[in-house]
Amino acid sequence: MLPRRRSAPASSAAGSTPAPAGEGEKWWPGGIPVRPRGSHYSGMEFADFIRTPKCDRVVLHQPLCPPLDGTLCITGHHFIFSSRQEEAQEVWVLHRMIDGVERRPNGMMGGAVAVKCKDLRVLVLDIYGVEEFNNIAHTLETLSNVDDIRLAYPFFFRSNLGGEDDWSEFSTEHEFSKLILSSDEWRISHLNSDFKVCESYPRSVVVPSSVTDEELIRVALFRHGGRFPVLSYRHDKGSILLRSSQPMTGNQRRCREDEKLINAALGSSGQKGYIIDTRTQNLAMSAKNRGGGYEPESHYPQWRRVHKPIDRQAAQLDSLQRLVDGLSDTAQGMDRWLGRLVSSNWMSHVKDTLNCACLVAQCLDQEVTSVLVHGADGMDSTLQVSSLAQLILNPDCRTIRGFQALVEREWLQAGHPFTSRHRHSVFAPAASRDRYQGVAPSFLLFLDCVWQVTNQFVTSFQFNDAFLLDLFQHSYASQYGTFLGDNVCEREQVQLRERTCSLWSHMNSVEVLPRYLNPLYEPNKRVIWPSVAPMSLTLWPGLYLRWTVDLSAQRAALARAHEIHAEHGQLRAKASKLRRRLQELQQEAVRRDLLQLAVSPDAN
Amino acid sequence: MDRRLESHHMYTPAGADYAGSESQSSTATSKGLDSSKGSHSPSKSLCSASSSSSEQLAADAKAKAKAASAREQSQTLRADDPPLVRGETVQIAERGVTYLCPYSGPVRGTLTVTDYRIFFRADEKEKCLELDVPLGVISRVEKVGRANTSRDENSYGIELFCKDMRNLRFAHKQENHSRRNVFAKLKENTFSPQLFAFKNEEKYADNGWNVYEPIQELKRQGLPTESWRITKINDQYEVCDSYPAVWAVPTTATDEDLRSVAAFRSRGRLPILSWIHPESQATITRCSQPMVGVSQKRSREDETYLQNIIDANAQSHKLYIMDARPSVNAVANKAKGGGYEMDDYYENAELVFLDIHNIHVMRESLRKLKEMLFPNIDEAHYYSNLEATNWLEHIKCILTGALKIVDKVEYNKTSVVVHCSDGWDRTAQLTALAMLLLDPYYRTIRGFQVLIEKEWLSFGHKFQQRVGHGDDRHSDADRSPVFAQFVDCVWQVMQHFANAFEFTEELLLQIMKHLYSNLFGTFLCNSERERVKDELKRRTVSLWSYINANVEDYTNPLYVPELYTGALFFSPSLRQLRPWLNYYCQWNPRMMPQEPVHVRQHELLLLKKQLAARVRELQKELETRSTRNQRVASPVPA
Repeated sequence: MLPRRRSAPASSAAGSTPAPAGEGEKWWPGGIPVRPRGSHYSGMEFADFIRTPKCDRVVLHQPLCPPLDGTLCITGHHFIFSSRQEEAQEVWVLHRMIDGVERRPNGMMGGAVAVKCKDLRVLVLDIYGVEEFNNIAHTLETLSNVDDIRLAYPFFFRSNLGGEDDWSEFSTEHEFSKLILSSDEWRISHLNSDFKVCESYPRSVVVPSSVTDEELIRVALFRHGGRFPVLSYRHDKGSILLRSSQPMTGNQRRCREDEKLINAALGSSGQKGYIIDTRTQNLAMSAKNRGGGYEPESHYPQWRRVHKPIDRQAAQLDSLQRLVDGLSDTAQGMDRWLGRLVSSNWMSHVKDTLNCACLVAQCLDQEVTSVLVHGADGMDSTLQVSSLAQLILNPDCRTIRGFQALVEREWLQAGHPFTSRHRHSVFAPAASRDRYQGVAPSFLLFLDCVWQVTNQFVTSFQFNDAFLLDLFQHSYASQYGTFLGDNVCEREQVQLRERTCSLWSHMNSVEVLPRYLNPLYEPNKRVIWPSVAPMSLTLWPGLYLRWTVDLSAQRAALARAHEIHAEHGQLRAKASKLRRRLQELQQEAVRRDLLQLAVSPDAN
Repeated sequence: MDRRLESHHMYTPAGADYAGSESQSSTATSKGLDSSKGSHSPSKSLCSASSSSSEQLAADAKAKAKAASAREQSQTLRADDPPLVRGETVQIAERGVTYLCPYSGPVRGTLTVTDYRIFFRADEKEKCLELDVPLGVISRVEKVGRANTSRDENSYGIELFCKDMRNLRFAHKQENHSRRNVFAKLKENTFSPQLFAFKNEEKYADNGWNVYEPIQELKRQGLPTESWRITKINDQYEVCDSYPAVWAVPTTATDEDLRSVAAFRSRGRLPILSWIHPESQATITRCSQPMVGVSQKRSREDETYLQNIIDANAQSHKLYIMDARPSVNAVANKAKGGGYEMDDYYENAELVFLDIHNIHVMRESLRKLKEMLFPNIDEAHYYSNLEATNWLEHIKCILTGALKIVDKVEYNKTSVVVHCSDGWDRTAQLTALAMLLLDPYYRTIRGFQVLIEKEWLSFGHKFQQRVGHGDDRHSDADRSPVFAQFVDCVWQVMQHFANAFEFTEELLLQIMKHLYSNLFGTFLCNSERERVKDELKRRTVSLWSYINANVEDYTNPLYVPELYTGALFFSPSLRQLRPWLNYYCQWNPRMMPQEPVHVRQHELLLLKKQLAARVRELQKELETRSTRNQRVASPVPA
């Protein structure tokens, strides 16, 4: 058996490794997990790859920690490091979290394996012995590159939360029930229930009642990837936010149903709507050569088109890479830090994205007119903008549950291809870049923007930094199935709901939820307008600096704020308890004729 | 006396902040929106009526401030007059002056000059702009525009250049000849050796001059010990005129030794104890550079004296001499008779250069910073401009130096001697910061005041010269923001350790304000000797009297002293340093906090206090009642 303590992993792995709190996985001596009955996959055996399941005398170097001496174990989904000291420390890392493995051989002594993770952490394992060194490096390389999501850890993990696992929390019907009930202009269409009209859309979407399913099919044929305009959000003032992909106008194609569909969002106000294109004008023009394009003025006279460019995903990944390079370069170039930060361009992506979202929110709230957002395929910047705009406008999205619903609606259901995007991150070897075309930090950029807003409106959000960090972490590798797969269709094919646990159930459990609460939260029903000036935006220390700078003092500050908050609550409870007791005593006294009510002091 | 009241009030909505940057990042878009606003009048009205939270919150905060200021005024004078402190007299008041606000454009109003401040209030009530600037912050007054030549009506007036990161410009009408009088009064009252601090008649319950008692502070540190004694040899400031009257020196050094060491050190500033570690007895001593000169002079007394300092610490047989300067500067100082300790002569000492630049470099760096931050920030080149000022780089350098001292004293238990050239600028920054990091006492509100009194004021940081109180030589090379830079460093440390300080940023902002204001006597004069001579304690009010009368305004609700009983240590990564925008950009309405977090914190603290009091009260009542019940009930057993 593996040398492990049941109690240890949670603490040692907090914040980094999704600790396997519930032990659904059974262990074999070789570390091969027992497959749940009935699972069927492509005959791959992890054991074939794990040539050295256990290795002693390994030294682990973690950022900001002294080196640890101990034993390394490799299982089908994790590598587990366990120190030999009295206070056994364990470090669990999911293979899926590994972005790249770098071998640093050291002659006949073995060598060091640098494990570079998608959460931007770098772990170095000093391994004694050439054979062990090669075996371990090879195993980690192979297991971290398993593409089949059916082999991912969530399929082997059973939560100990019992019956609370609930996948149906954020269904379209439920989320939009208020809207549908209050207005007959919108209906839920089930035309995509077999994913034939649009592969990346969920089964049900909200569309104008005046447009029939047949017409929708024609619109879908006109839009890139079948992503026809659907309702994303209806603002309190009645303005509508739609999102879609680019229209396939190509060489002057036109689709009357498409025009009818989006015009339905304008209602009868006669006001012009806005089409916000997240590409530059040039990019939109050149997309015509590939059949894409934009909505021409002549066919969409009721709409005003605005280009509000957000850089392409590949550029975002490059920026993140430069940022991480700058961060990890602690030896020299310290004095050039600001220069490196600027040249990485990451902050300007944050600014552009927020800026675009603010524009959308401004149109919806101040111009009170409808907006259609799209980029090229409508799966990245479109979703960033539509979700951020809701965060600005809708106070519900600033609660924990509301934010989960937002991520579910605007990212998971809307078909952001999480698995493709998060297959790798900044440490992926350049050679394999071509293999992973779809890799991009879109979701991270979104979370960064959210953090910027929370940082500017400290009291308006129910959640804190830790919540966003955990979302980041789980979106890359997790024991929960929520972020697996590229879209709803793919998730249903692998029976994600039936066979894995939901992250939301975990996050909302009574043990976990308090960690995410912002002690300064004071519900704010108003629209919040974030500033995008460069001096208002800061690098998110909790995410980017946590492996290079010791942030424990900041964490202590948050803990103290929590304490004050709890103390406050306790005092309140105590005060009301005492007040009740006083009343009882008074009544008692009155009953015994020891006290007359008239002279009793006001107990308030 | 509230900071918010005295500062520059902008009641124009600062909301929808991003719109400004948008106009830069994509002109096409904003044009599109603007035109649409023009064409749809209903949407325009909705726009202005919209209740974006920032506007609302800002408006709330302002309404509060306004109410408070109204209250204050009703107590004092007519609504149109400025709020005066006791002893303040109005010198001149001119109507019809225009303030050229860099943010909201020209505003017509009344300008009042008193012997303490310049006060401006807008005529149009809806603009509600107030300007309240102590004369002390003004470093330069200039006339701009000549009569009868310019066409633009706002080009004729007065421009004020301030020490607190802003410039002010007023336009006068040529025909009513108001400029000459205002200009004369401004010059007369701003640049006068008779500072307003001597006229301030405000009274406070607590006398701030008693905050720092040198002997008491040394006793707090555990002195005298068997190795360190307290001496009053400098009682008449004869041994060293820029040093305090009370010193702590090694017991092994006789008064005669002290005199001869003083002779070898620049301006007689020999090594004197600043701080002693309560456990290890490792010490921080400070001094000026030795007078080595080109001829490589040595002083046996000085060498023995430093050996005495080493011997006073039983834990270590070594001494680190921290020379704050870059080594090149230290060498260059030999030409002027100064220099640094030669390795050969000081056996057990190791000399470390901390590479902190001199006051001229710092002044230039801050000038660049002001240029980039005021009045408007070039957003496209924000980071590159910031980097070009080198300000954060200097801050990092100072913090690194202070942390090196902390490292030696706390973790190596080794004593440290700190000096630069004269030992009153960089040395004060380093020792004060190191002490702040080492000793939790200095992180309390009172302790911080003691720290400033001790390391800065008593050890002769030349506040008069560096700040230039009441002095019109604005380009004097002796001016430099050395103390301001120290306060910035403190702020940076506070960003790191939110629970470690009893005070908040607000205290630092107040200190920065009154560093220049001349309302209090605290930061006047160059040395303790001058302060005694001018009888500041009798004739002026201490800033600490004012601070300690409103101590809850500066109390940090997140302070947990139990968590930080020892030294604070961190790596001063440039990645974590940020410009102190709440100070450097305090006049920019766009930088005003959109959510009044500190107000909320304050409210929560108050509520907590009330509830705790209520709990106690109820508990007491419960007790008395139950005892009474028992007493009454006992004769009648059930």
